[in-house]
Amino acid sequence: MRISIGITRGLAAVALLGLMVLAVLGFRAQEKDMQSLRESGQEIIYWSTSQGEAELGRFLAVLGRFALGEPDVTAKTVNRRFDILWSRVELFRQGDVGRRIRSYDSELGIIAELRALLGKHEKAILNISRDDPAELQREILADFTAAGKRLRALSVLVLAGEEARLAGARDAVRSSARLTWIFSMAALVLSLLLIGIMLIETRRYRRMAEESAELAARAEAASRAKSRFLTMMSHELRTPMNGVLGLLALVRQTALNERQIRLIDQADRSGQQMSALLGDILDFSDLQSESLVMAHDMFELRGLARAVEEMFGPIVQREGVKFTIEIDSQAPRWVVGDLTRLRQVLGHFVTFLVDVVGSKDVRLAIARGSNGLAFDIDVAVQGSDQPGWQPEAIFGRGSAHYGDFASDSLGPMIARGLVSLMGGTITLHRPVAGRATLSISVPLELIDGAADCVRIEAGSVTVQTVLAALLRKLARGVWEPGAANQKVTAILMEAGGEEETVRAARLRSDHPAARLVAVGAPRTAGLFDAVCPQPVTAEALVAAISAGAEPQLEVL
Amino acid sequence: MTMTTQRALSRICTCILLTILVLARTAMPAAADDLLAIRNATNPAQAEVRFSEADLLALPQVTIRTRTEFTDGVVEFVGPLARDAIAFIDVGSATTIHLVAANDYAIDIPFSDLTDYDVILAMQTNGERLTIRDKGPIWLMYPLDDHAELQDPMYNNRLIWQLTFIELR
Repeated sequence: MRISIGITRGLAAVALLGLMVLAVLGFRAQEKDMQSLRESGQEIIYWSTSQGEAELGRFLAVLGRFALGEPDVTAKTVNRRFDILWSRVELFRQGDVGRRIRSYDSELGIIAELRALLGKHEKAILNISRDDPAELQREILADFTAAGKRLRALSVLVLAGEEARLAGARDAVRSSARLTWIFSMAALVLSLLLIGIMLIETRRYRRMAEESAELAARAEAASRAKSRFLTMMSHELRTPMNGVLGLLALVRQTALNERQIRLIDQADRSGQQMSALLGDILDFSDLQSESLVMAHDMFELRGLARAVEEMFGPIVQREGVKFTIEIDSQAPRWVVGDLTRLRQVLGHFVTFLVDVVGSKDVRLAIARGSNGLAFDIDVAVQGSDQPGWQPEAIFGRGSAHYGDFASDSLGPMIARGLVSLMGGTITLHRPVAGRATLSISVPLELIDGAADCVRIEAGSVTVQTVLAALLRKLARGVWEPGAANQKVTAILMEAGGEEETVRAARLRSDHPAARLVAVGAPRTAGLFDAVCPQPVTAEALVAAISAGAEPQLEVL
Repeated sequence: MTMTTQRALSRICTCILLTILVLARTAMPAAADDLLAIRNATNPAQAEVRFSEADLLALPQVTIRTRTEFTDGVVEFVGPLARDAIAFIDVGSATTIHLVAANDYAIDIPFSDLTDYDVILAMQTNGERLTIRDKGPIWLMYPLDDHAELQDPMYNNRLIWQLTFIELR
């Protein structure tokens, strides 16, 4: 295949080079033609010599008539004709026309003779008079008549020479036209050759592209099959694992001695780890198939900190790890993003630093970043001397790379994939004085000041939960009793019941500026700004709680 | 001698004879000092305009530096613009300019030549006045080197010398 490419490329290069050479040769031939045509179109010099003859004839005629005593021919007329004749002879001495005529006269010397003759009789002509002796007039006439014959001889020579030159020019044009035809045919053949080569190459490339596409499709299908298998196996393994964990919980409720309890605790921890690993495999599979979608919910930053703290509570207690979380005073209270995935990212990194790196002191600092939140995980490490210190496990090879990893680096790899999916960055600072910092920056929408939130007043926990989930989906904050910096803009009140009027009045009194929305079918629709019938849809909820929306006084 | 050469010589002889016959009836400029006469054939009622040497020198003088087939190297030609001289006569509907030399050689050029190019009535070359013995006193000159299209031999033939008469047609 490589040899074939070399040959076709070589042929194409030769063909192109050939075309260029032919183009140059064709241009040169055309240029030669143009030069020949230009030369053939130049001043026709035999016209100049014949005009000289004519002028000599005119002079002789005027001189003769003057000698015959014609009254309308004066000495001035003769002088004027003499001057014009002089100018004709002068023409043979100057310019390209003169040079070409002189080239024919180099052996004859006719021009020199003419000039000498003009000089010889100049004085006599200038002073010409009817009283001049007849011998002088006859001598002048005889001299110029003889000069006329000599000039005619020059004209004949020039005419013959120019004809030969023009014939040569015509031959040159004919020859170059033939050459141009040959070059054009050669160029045509080469062009056809080039087109042939291009067709062969195009066909070859198309075949290669088809093969590549087929290979890519096969690889994609294999990857999907692997992902499906992973997902399926994770689900399949999780079910019996949950059974094992459930049974362990039941066993713990029976009368057990201390040793048995310790063994069951160990088995439970192993089961929990196995369950977490299965979850990681599922996430890894989702990341690999690019099917993971980030949520866009509003949550309280403290909620995230609390969730991470709860996650590491048992480890802290069991292994004596010092784990602290600090939220900067300038950090916003509310954030819009994916709480679960953020917790997962922080969980994976902290777990890696504690379990693999072996750090016993971890500090998580959360602060406002350039366009979101900045998480700094500061850990006590011993630099490169510490066996577990593997920055490449956290960073992999540049961006998230799922092809090659150590088993311990699955968690960090999932975390990196999630951060990358959120559009964030990870920076690992080299250990200084026994401490290293892992900085994670994630772009998130931050809500400063009092967050607009919606208060839910529902008798049923189910309705409360459904409405809260729906609001979070819509990136709306949910009012929490006793929490600061909350501005209630709307109230969702489960309608109905004996005390509907009393409850509505109380809520109006608590939040006079908020929109009061009835969820379900109210007894007195006039008490509410809007009604959101059950089952509640996202569109209906947005319309009902929006400040500018028209009140929906629908009674079902 | 080829048949073509014989035919050409025969034509030349005929030309010479005809020229000699016409010469007898050639009208020279009326006044002795006049170098050039201009007439509009499309308007016979309009009087002929005559220029003496002083008249032509009184017009704005323009310089052209160019090469020609009839001179050696680049030559500096000086003289009034032909369109300035023709401006003394009402052009009317004329589109062609008929130019006649002292030896009765005549050519026609389109009027547009005078508007498209600075064609001059050269009276001086390389600082010397043109005489009748050297294509003078008036030589119609185009700025040949200034325009690529003027390199065509057609314009070479329009460089009429010993110019005496202009007729607008």
